[in-house]
Amino acid sequence: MQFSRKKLPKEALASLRRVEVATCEPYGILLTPVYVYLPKNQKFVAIKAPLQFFSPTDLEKNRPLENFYLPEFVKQIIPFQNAGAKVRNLLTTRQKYGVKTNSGDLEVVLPVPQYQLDDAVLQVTGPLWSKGVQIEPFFLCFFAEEVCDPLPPEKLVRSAEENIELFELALLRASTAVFFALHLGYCDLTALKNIREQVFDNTVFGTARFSNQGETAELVRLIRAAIPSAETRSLSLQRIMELLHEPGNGGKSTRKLISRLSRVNAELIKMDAPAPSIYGEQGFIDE
Amino acid sequence: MNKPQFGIAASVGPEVKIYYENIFSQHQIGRVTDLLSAIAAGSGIPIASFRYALSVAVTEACQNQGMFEGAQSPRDPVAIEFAADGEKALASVGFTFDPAYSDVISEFSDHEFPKDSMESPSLVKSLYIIAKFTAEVTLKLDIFSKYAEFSISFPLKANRLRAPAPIECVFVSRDSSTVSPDREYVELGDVAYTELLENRRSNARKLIEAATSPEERISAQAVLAEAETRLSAEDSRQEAQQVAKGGPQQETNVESTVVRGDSPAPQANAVLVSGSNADNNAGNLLSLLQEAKALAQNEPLLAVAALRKAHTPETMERLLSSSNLANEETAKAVIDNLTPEELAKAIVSAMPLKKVGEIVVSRMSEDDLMEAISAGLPRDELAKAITSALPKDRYSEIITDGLPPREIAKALAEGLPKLQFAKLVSTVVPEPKIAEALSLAEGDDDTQESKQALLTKDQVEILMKPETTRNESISILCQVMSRSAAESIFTGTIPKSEVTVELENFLPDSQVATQVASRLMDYQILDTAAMPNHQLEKKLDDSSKAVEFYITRTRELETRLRAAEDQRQLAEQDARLLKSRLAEIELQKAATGKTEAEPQTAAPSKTSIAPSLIRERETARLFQKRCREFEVDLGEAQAEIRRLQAGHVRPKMANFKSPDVAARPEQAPADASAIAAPPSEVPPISPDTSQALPGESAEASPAALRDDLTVEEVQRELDEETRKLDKNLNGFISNIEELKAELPEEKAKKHVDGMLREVFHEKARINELSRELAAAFRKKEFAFKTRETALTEELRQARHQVNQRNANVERMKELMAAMQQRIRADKETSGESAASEVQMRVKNEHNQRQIEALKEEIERLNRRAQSAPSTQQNAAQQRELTRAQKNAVVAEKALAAKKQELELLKRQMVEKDAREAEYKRSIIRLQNELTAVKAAPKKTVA
Repeated sequence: MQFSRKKLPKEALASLRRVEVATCEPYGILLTPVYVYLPKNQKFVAIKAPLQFFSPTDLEKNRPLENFYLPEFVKQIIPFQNAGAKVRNLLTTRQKYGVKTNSGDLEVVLPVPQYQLDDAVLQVTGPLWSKGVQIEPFFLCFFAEEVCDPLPPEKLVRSAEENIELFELALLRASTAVFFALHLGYCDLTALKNIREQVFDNTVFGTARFSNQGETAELVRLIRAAIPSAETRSLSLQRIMELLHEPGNGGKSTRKLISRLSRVNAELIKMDAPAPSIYGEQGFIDE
Repeated sequence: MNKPQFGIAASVGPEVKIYYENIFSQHQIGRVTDLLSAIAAGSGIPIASFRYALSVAVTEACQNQGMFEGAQSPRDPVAIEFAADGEKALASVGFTFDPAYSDVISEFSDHEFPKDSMESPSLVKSLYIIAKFTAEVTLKLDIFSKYAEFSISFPLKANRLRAPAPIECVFVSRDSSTVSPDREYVELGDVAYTELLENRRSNARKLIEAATSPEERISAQAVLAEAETRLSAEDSRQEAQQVAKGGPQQETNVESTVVRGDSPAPQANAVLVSGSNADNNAGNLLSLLQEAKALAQNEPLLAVAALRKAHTPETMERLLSSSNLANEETAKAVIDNLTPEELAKAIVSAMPLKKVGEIVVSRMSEDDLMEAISAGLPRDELAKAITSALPKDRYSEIITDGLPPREIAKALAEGLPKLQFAKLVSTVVPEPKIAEALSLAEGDDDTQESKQALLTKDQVEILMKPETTRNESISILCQVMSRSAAESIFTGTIPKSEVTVELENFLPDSQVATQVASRLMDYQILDTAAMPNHQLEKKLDDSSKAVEFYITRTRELETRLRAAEDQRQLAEQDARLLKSRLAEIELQKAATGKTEAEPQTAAPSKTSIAPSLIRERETARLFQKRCREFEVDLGEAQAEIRRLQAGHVRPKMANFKSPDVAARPEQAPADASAIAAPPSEVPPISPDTSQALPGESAEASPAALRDDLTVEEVQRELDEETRKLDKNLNGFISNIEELKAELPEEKAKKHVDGMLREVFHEKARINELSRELAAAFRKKEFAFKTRETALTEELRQARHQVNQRNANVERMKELMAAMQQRIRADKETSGESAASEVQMRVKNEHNQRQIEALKEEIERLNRRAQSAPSTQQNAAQQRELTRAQKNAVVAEKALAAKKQELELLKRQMVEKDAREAEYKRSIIRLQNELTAVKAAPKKTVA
């Protein structure tokens, strides 16, 4: 992923966050540009771009440097990660209780009621939208990373070697698919993981074709239209409403999504909160 | 006719809301149908029928999707939609059928639906059941996408059912779902489900009252029974809030009974509701309040489990801070069953520090507490807790008595795991105790690292002294901090924002802070990324600068103090010297003026001054070495004095006739000469002698410095000052004369003293100028050194260039050698090729000769053929001829190939000649360059 500020002066230390190399896990999608400090040059130099990942070899090579440094932008991602963790927690919550029956005491395990779960999930995901019902798909990668399991390392390596741009596009689309699916009431971890992996494979390798019927297929079509390239800046309610009139996207999935986003707009968006963005001074891409 | 589509949007008006839900589990069937029933209650549909038909449809959909058999969740959900307007109510249940579980659907090939029979599959049976309670049932299918939908139309009250509805099967085209009519969709999660479900009770009562048939009454009673098992609205809201916050950990909620208002639910209800929507009501009772209750009821294991599972501080706090731990046994059990780490984590993360401290102190014995401190618990947190909860003397006592000296030493010297702990220990443990600990630790056979980190014997001795202050003790302790300790304090263990605060809190003494700062500077972590934040960097930087400035300033002041002291002593000596000179002048004046003899008392006193004068003059010579200006001044004064002695003032002196001097005319010259004549070992103080005093080195002399420096301005000022002094001294002498003539002796002495002060003042000014001169010298010296460094650098660069050029020369030489070698090789190759050319020519000639011979042979054979009579002979000759012709053709081809090869070799020769010429030109060029390079360094060095 393209980003500005590939080198930072020594004075930027005050705004950087330090991460020990030893604590880094391989194959984790990187949140921000990753810098290392070069004492000879007295500068921080970026060695990895956002949405890339470290292989074990990379980490071993950088181990003598002891620390990586991340820009302060990373704090903008934390709400998305927290929301992802909360959603995952919600989806895995099971209620266990006993019932007295004519066969004796039985234990019943049930999930949280679906409508209650939908409501709770929307209350978690709704505040992630910014004023004007906008959101940048970059952040959704880390939301989806928390909700679903990390993508298998083999798949990451293979897709990154295949085409790095397609890899990034696939990450953005797959994560957005998870996010939108939750809005449509797809509150099931297995289903979400399937959607994510299929959208990813479909984008990078062209495999995993979706059937023509059903909401999942509609959703995938909508996401393809909404995120045509990895440079897609943001998603918004307005854009989705525009897509409604484009061929192939006028299905009920789009209308259902618009209906839920209208509720988000009316009840859940924090109007005074600053919109997280990868652009501008707070982000990592200069405008 | 419109194409059939999935969903009900095309069948309802544009103003109608479509409620929908996606489910991924059969466990959601009852809950969703319940809520949809509550929503549909006001639309006039017979709710019991609606709920039953919908439940059957959704259950069948789940079954065909493989939810009942499949261990994993399905990829696609079962989509349920419902809408009602004034005329009809519609519902649809869409699903992706799995052929493994729904082979029946795969076999549908036309619109004719199978008849119901005992052998019919469940799908057929279910649809017939649904048809009994609905107005219309349609099975929509897309075989290609494996997607199916039950579309159900429900009758309104006005159109009561009289017969089962017909069942239709419709095939939907693949592209039908791409465009959907513009309708408003409402997710069930967006409706006020709590209120809707709560209203079911009253609705059910109304339904019972309004029932017109026994079936409706029974159905309404069933709904009421279900509603009765629900939670109150308040409980539901609490649960909803809990879920909205992120929910509890998976399977954290344990409930022993299905209760409502803390009482067990009827067994029959429990059986009825199991697996249906009402079972979720029981789930709504999951709450931490239950666990709190269990804690309070002396169920320690449950309490431990709850504490282990509770993952948020809020939950933990609720569990711990309520009355749950009021019971001693429960608390004891909790403490016994949790590991120390778990307990510490639980209590520290959950509660205010003071509360933690109270709990820990009240629940744990002192032995346990000490064991925990020294063995396992996170020291800083517990220390914080203890210090917050207990009075100072109490925890001082605990730590002093309970902590072994080795632990204190380890805490202070080996690592200082947390700043707070170090603070605590250094605050409450008396210094002798610390010293004892550290001295013990020093003698201990520990690792090399810990040894290095401990105190030296000197430091321990200082600590052992009773008069050592606390600040000094802390200072020493700070000195023994290892690098890792310092770094961990300032970078790792404390949040960045707190570093400055902690530094101030822990190190109130600025000197200690300075020491730490200087140590950090030594570790150079200020220059690296290890610095926690820029504030600390600035703070430490400021403090280190302040220290440097303080030290420099102190040294400067000390130097100035010493210089002032020296000047004061010298000034006193000068004063004494000048006084003696004045006395000499008076005596000489008296002697040369041949006046009357002085009073008898004056002569002995002047005689007694002479030895001290000698000593003082010796001391004065030292001053003369350091301050040439003053010597010049003094020399001028002496010159003036000599001028006076030589008789410049004689006319005036001659007029003065003292009766005492006149009374003893012959005695005065002897005395005067005794005083005026200097001792043989003491050289006279004059400008000439002062520039070359014995033992004085020219380098140390200010005069030498001034000669080297040639600071014209300073010299000019010095000259001016000298002239001023000269003038003053002249005035001084003349004033003396006048005063002697006019005033009594006492008054004259006072006036002389005043004049002397002026002289001293002038001397001070001269000293000041001397210092300026020294400063100018230093400046010059610095400039010289800078220039010297620059010149050295230039020289180094020049040498470097020379080396480079030498290397270039060597390289070029090598290059030339290589080229010459190649040329030689080419020549050899060309020689070889020339040889091969000769061979080729020979071969060629040979071939030509062969060809000629062959031709002759052919001709001969032809002639013979013409003359030969027999046919057989002709045939043999013909064959021979043919063979010979073939041989000739082959030989011609070989010849042509050889010619081509020869041409190629000639071309190669030409190319090699051209290359050789090029090499020669290159060699000449390189030789030229070499000559130029050899000439270049000489210029640079020159």
